[in-house]
Amino acid sequence: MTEQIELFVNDEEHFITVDTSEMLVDVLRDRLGLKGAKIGCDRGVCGACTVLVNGDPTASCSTFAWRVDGARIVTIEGLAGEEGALDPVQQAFFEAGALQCGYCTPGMILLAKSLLARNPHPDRAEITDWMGANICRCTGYKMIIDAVEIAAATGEGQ
Amino acid sequence: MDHDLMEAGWVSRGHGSIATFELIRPTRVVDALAAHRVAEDSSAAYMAGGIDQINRMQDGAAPDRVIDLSRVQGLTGISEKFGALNIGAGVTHHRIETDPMIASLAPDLAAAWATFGNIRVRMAGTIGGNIMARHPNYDGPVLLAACGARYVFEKPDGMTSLIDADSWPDVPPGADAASGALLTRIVIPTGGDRRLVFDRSLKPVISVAVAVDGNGGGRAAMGCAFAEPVCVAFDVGANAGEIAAEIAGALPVPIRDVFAGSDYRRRMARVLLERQITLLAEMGP
Ligand SMILES: Cc1cc2nc3c(=O)[nH]c(=O)nc-3n(C[C@H](O)[C@H](O)[C@H](O)COP(=O)(O)OP(=O)(O)OC[C@H]3O[C@@H](n4cnc5c(N)ncnc54)[C@H](O)[C@@H]3O)c2cc1C
Ligand code: FES
Ligand code: FES
Repeated sequence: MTEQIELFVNDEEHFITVDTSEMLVDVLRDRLGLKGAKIGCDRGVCGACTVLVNGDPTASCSTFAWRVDGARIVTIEGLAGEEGALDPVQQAFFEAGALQCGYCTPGMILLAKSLLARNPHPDRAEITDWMGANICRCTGYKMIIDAVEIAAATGEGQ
Repeated sequence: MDHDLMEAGWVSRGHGSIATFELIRPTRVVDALAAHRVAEDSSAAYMAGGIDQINRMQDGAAPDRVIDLSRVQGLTGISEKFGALNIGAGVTHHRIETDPMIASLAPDLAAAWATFGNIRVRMAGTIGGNIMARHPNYDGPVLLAACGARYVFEKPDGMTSLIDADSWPDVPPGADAASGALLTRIVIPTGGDRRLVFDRSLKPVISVAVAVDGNGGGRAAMGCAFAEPVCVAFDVGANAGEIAAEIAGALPVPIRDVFAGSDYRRRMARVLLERQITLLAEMGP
């Protein structure tokens, strides 16, 4: 059974017919070619598939596409500036060396964006708590938390 | 090949294994209830935040129709009436954690709720889904039982039923689902100088919530250690160690799994209870 939905992905409008069982991550990756959202656990646990839905960090592996009908969605591809300039949070991850294999990185960066949009000056404990939603098997987390601190210090989110 | 391995339990079922279904998106409670009343040979499931419902569907549950509750009016309110907080079943964990009314009337409950899972889960998951999932490790039913909360259900026959959170475990899991009852709100008493403490540091071995009121009444609820939470009422008067020993000694036999044996769980129930009752006494009224 299908549903007709409208999505605003990275400021572009899309009208898509989806099966009721189709997940947002499949629409993004397979229909729109946005491969930044990764599938890790496929159970809403690891956060590799995190995208922003109306600003909220959302596990796209566990969200039916019809559920976000009419929503504004931001994927990692939507952060790049002119001529591919890095977003300040991406830049901070780069400076802090907050990635190794990079599999968790799109989700981590979007999770960080959602924090800084709500709280431009989080303390380290707040960053640790918020970023604890996503799992990284490589970095040990310290550099990721450092990166969010750097991004906050540069005024990202204000 | 993959399918066989999946059926045999060797390969986890991905979201691609979810079968298509009819989607119903009601805006009124009566329509949600009506949508659940389906022909004998088909099945229906409510979906709030969808965290558990989608996992169940990945694990093989295949309802013919899914009733999305996200547009149903009246499920997302938070209000105060006759000395009690009324929280709509569709209120997310994050709203409980951040709502100003809950913060002023039940700050201890809001603080405990803020420890659930992680921010993604708290933004998607609802209090109603947390209760109705009936997962032994979920914290909502434990906290709500300790607070003396009541669950309000609307039933397909047009009746409303109220069930005490601490007697909810006695309602067989099939009974509520089969009848298609919809949990609409949770009523939490806020008066009587209630103080609540919650310790989830030993999850998934055991979690313990203890609440005491200004009249010397206490309630202790325990999760993770039993198939459903267990809640016990006690008088605050006696020594914390004695109360804890008495409650722990009278508990049903705790479960035994890879995390801990039954005796260890019972022992930890006593330890955490004593610690929390002492803490509440130190906090004073
Ligand atoms: C990574 C992770 C960590 C977590 N950590 C915690 C934790 O620390 N503590 C904790 O308590 N929980 C935890 N959870 C569980 C989470 O809180 C629950 O999954 C969530 O509350 C379920 O809510 P939902 O709205 O998504 O329910 P859904 O998945 O939509 O529904 C769950 C069940 O309830 C039924 N249902 C839903 N609403 C109603 C209603 N109004 N009336 C009748 N039936 C209804 C549905 O049919 C379904 O059977 C965690 C989950 C994840 C993925
Ligand atoms: S892949 Fe979605 S949360 Fe892990
Ligand atoms: S950088 Fe490899 S999982 Fe995070």
